[in-house]
Amino acid sequence: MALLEIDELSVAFDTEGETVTVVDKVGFEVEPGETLGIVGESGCGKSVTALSIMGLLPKPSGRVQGGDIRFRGESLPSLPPERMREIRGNRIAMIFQEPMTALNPVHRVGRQLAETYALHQGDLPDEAVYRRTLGLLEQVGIPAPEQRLREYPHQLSGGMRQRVMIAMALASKPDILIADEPTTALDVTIQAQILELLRDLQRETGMAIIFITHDLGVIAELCSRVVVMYAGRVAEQAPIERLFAHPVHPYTRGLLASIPRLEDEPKTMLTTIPGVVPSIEELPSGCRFANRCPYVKDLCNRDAPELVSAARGHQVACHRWREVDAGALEQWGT
Amino acid sequence: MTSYFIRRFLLIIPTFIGVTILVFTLTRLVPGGPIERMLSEAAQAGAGETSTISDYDGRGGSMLSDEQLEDLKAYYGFDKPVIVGYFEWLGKVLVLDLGRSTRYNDPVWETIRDRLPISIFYGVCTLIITYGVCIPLGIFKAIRHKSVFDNLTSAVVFAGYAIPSYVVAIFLLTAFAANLEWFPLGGFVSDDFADFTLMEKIADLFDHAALPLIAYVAGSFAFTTMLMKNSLMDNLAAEYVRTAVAKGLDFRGAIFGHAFRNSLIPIATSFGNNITLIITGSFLIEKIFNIDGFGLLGFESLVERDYPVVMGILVISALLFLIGNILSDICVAIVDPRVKFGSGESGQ
Repeated sequence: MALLEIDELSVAFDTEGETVTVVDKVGFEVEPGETLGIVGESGCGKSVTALSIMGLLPKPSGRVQGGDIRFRGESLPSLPPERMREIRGNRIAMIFQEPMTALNPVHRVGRQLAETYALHQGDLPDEAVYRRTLGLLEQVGIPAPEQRLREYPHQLSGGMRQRVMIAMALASKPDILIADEPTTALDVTIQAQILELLRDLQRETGMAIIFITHDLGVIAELCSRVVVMYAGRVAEQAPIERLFAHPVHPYTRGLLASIPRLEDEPKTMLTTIPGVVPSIEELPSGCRFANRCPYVKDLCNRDAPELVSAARGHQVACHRWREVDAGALEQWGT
Repeated sequence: MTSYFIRRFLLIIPTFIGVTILVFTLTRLVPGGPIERMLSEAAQAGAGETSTISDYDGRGGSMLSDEQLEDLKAYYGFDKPVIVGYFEWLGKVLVLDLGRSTRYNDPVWETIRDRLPISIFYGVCTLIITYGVCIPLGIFKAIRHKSVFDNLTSAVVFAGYAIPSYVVAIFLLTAFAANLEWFPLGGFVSDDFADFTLMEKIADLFDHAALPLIAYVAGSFAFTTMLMKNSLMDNLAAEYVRTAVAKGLDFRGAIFGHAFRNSLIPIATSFGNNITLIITGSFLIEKIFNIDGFGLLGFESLVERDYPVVMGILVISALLFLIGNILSDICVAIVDPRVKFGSGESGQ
C-alpha cells in the first residue's frame, strides 16, 4: 500500500453561484521516502491538489467533490476535524511559496517553532522544546540559532525564512512534506541552497516529499517521479529519467522543448506552446489541450482521453500518444 | 527607540507654544472681552437697557472715565502688546498659575479642577464601553461575516453613527427620564449624594450616568467595530494564518493565537488619541443632561469671553492631545515588532 493515494480526486469551487471544477479526477500515489514532483503552469490545479491533501481548501467556497485521498489507508476528506488536526502539521506538513508572508510577523521565530511541539507533543517540557527548536534551526543550516530564535521574521532574509518554515514543518518528523513552490520567491543561488537542504533532509529523515513547481529544472534536480498536470487533469506521469528522455504527451514535449538550452544558438527565438490554457469556466468536453495541440484530431475535441499505461510506471492521457511516441508526427519547434 | 520618544516629547514644547500663541492672539483680536462684558453688565444695572456684549465698542460709552478704563485694561493685561501679554501668561503657566476667571473671579485651575472628575468619569466610561463592545463585536462579525447577526449589528452601529448624539440624548431624556421616569432628568449625582453609603453612591452615579453614556457611545461603535472586523478578516486570509492551520492549529487557535494581535495594529494607532475623549465631552449632551463637564465649561467661557478659562482649557487639551499622539506611537510599537522609530538603534 502506498503511503498516500490520491484517487480520482475532484475539487470544486463555488464562484458567484456557479460551481467550477478545478481539479478533475486526478490520481497519483506517493511511496514512503520518495520525491514526487507535480509540474504544471499557473492555475493547473497543482496547489489546489496539495491544499486538499492538507484539508486547507479555502472555506466555504472550495470542497472535495469526488474521489478520495487516503493516507496510510485512512480517508482524509471524511475525517472528523480533530483527527485531521492530528495528521495536519504532524504526519503531513506543508511549506509555502512566500516565506515573506507565511510567518506571523508579530511572533518571535522561537515561539512559532515551539507551537508545533505544543500542538502535537504537548507533554514535552519547555526545556526540551527549546533544545529541539535549537536543533531544528541547526538542522536547516541557520547560523547562530540561539539568536535567531529570539528574532522576529522581518529580521531574517527570504532564504532564512524559508529555512525557518522548513524547520517548522520538520518539527514533528512528518511522513510527507508538501512543498508548494518553496523556491519560486527566492533568487537562484538561495533556490539551489534550499533544494540541496531538502535533499539532505530527506536523506536524513526518510520522509516523502511532494514538490510542486512550474520549473522542470527544479524537478530534474530533486524528484524521482513526476506528475504533469494540465488544466485540472493529469496529462502524464512517469519516473524522472523516463519523462525527460521519453515524453509521450504533446504537452510534456512542448514544456521540454520550451526550456532554453546552453547549446542553443544565441539570440534565437525561444520555443513556446502557442495559445492559452482554456478558461476554467469554459473547459472543452474533449481533451483540454486540444486547442493548443499540434497533433489534434476530431476525436480529441470529442472525447476526453483516459489515463493509460504507456510503459511500466509511465501513464499518459492522450488519444494519439503512440503516434507521438513513434515520431510519426511533426515535432515541436520545427 | 528611546531617543525617538525623547525627541517626540521635546517637540511638544514648540507645538504647544505655537498652539497657545495662536489662540492667545485670537482672543485679543476678536471683538468683546471681559471689560466689555463688565461694562455691559454695568449698563444693564444702571439703565435697565437690554443690550449685549457686541453693542459695546470697547470704550464703554459714558459709564466709565478713560482713566478707569485704562486701569481696567492694565488689570487684565490688555494695555501691553499681544506678544508681551502672551509671554507674561506663558511665564505664569510655567509656574502652574493659569490666572483667574474673569467671570467667577476664581482661580482658573480650581474651576477646571471642579469639572475634571466629571469629565474623566464620562471619558473613561466611554472609552471602556467603546473598546469593550467594539473589539468582541468586531471579532464576532468577522467570524460570522454576512450572517444575519453581522448584517443586523451593522445596521444598528451605523444607525447609531448616523443619528446625531444630541438627538439621541433628547430622545432618551424625553422617553426614559420624563415620560417613563426610569432615570433622573439630569445632573451628575443627586443633591443628597454626600449622605449616601458607598453602594448607594455608586448606584446613584450610574443611575445619573446611564442615559448620557448611551448618548455618548451610540455614535462611537461604528468606526472601531468595522475597523476590527475588516482588519481581522484581512488577517484571517493572510498566509501566516494558513501556515498556523497547516501546523495543526484549530480555527479558534488561529484567530486568537495569530490573527488577533495582528489585527489590533490599526486599532492601536487610534488608541492614544482617545485620551482626549476626557476633555472633549460634548457640550450639547452636557447641556441636555445638565452635567457640569468640560464641554459646557469651554463653551460658556467662550461665549462669556472668559479668556483665562479658555486658555486654561486649551493648555490642558493641547497637552493631552500631544501626549495622546505619542501614546499612539507607543501602542503601535508594543503590538507590532516591525515598527522601529528613529534610525539610531536597529534590531534588538
